[in-house]
Amino acid sequence: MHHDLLAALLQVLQFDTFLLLCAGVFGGLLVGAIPGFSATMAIVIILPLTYSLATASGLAVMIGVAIGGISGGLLSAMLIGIPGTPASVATTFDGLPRVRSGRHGEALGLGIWASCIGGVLSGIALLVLAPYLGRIGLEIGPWGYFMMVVFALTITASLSGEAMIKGLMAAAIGVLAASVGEEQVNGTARLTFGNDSLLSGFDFLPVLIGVFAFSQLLNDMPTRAAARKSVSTEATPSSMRIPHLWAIRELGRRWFNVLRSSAIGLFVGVIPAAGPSISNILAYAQAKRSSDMPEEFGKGHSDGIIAPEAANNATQGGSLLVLMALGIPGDAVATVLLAALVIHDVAPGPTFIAENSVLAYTIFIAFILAHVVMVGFQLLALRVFVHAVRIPLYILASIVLFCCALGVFAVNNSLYDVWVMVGFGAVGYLMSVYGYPIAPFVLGVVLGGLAEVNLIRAITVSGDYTLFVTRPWSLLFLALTVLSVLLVVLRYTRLSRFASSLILFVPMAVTAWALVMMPGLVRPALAVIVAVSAILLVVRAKRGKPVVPPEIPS
Amino acid sequence: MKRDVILGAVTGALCIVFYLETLKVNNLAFAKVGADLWPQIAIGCIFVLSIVQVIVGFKAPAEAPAEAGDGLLEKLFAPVVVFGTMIAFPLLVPVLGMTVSGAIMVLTLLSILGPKTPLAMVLHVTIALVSVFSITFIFTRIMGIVLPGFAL
Repeated sequence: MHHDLLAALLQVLQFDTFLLLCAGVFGGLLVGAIPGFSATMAIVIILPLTYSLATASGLAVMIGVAIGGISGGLLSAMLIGIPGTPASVATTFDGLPRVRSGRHGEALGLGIWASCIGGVLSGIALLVLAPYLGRIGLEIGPWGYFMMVVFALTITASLSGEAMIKGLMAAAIGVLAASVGEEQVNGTARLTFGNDSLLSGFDFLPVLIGVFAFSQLLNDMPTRAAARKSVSTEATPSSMRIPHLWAIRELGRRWFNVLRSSAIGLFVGVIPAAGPSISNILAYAQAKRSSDMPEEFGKGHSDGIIAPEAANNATQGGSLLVLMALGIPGDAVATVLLAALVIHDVAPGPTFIAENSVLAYTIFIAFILAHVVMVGFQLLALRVFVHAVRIPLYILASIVLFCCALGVFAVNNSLYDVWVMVGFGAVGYLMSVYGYPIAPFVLGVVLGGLAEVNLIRAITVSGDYTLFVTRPWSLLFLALTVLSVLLVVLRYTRLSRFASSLILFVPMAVTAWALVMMPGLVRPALAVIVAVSAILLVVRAKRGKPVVPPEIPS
Repeated sequence: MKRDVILGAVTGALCIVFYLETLKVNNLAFAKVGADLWPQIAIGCIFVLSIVQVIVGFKAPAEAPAEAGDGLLEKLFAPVVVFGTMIAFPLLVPVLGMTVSGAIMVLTLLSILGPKTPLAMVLHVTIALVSVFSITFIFTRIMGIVLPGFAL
């Protein structure tokens, strides 16, 4: 492992690779800082520029863009009060008041260094845990993989809250879209409606770009008047100094908040669909709850800036952990990152880390270094940012659309992909207008093929369908799928708390049973915790305490 | 009728169309799992969910009346312009090439969505030419991607 780590470190530190990593971070910071242009958008815009690069260099750029994209959100969140990305929503709560009190530099310094430390801590966790999780991935088998995809899709849909039915429909429509063209196993044509162009199916990059770019741009400029506006405000400063040493000392004094928020971020990142947009709010809420001065939150409190920024960057580590070890993208950023990995001939999964350890560690080290580089580039990005936010949206949108069209064309040198992008752009726009969440659709497109291949593999290996409920991993994900749906359904039903707890007890008990069946000591120990939690849930419900957690704002 | 009911009904109808299309799949004799199974599972899920959506839609409280007149036209303006231009772009590429079509696309978007003063028009032409030529330059000269017709 040490040799591979060293080889990876040397690879990332090669002059051209490191330079490209820096360029990626800077590009991501700029795009992520502009409100409406999320980290996903940053990857989408910059990805085509990496096609001709070598694998390590291309991946270093993309990791840099992802980290820059997430970190860039704090600039607009603090300086103009509009989060550049959903991951920085909670940053506005205390960042903006601190900026308005005239302490721009302090606010940015805390945010930047919290992002850096949160990211580096999650990067270290990534290095340590990814090989372990990869080994576990080998135990899962096709039955478990199939159910894991089903779980990823249902939990993404269930996070849509009241729109869960639409979320599930969006996920299934995504799966259906992924099945158009030649079937992966036998090459049989299907759902082409007699059109030979559709035989090749839909490459998922044009689909992703179409769905994300069009829905986002058109939502940002719903009317002509909105399109002609820029996102800058009178409060946007033109220059400032960041007190780095003061910020580091302040973080040192609040080390427990940094650690706790990073842990929350990492944990949330591991859960499919629960991305940084959730972790930053959870970490903020936890910091406020455990503070001695909760009344100071919302007025520019340091902990209120540190918590969301440490958490949202740490979430990327958790998300990358699951993506690299299991091949399952947890959120929209990871989904687009998966597209970037595939384009550079990297197919993440349980065997990937064992078979391509140097490349895997290159990605992890690039992830850690990108956070360090990000600190240096924030100041530079800030200078460009104050000018970029003064450009009217319609100008940015027009140029971005051309970039998207050209980038999509360059995937296969085919205009067919441009048509696919426009077609799915219309689908994405209509979905956003009619309240269908886009994330489950995109995950459906990306994971549909994986689910089908594993279903076919499972049925081919054995015609015994009961294996889907008797194999431990498959049973675990089935129970978690049911649990994720029930948690939403019970929130909107009028059942008594005790009845709700009894309903939830069943999938929790099944989860515990599945964990008991697994080898080793850790997982059976987890089974005991889950079983005790299930019993406590029923006992608490009998005493009249709530059993279903409130909806998390997204 | 309520919007979700209509959406559910339309989705259900589309499911029937897609299901009929899956019946045309020619499965290979040696395949243990037919190529039509997976899309049929997805279509089945969508169909069931669309029925649930229709039922839930009927039970849901009445929605606010949809905007009509100028408000609706104003809301449709940007999407119609963007999609119209984006559809014209791949149609123009085989005739004019990527660079010229791109410049026309960006200029059209800027001119229709932006202000129409003489100064703005000059600015739009400059932005369209500079942005398209510089992006095309990066793709063709730095990345070595061959673009159709009139590439730099």
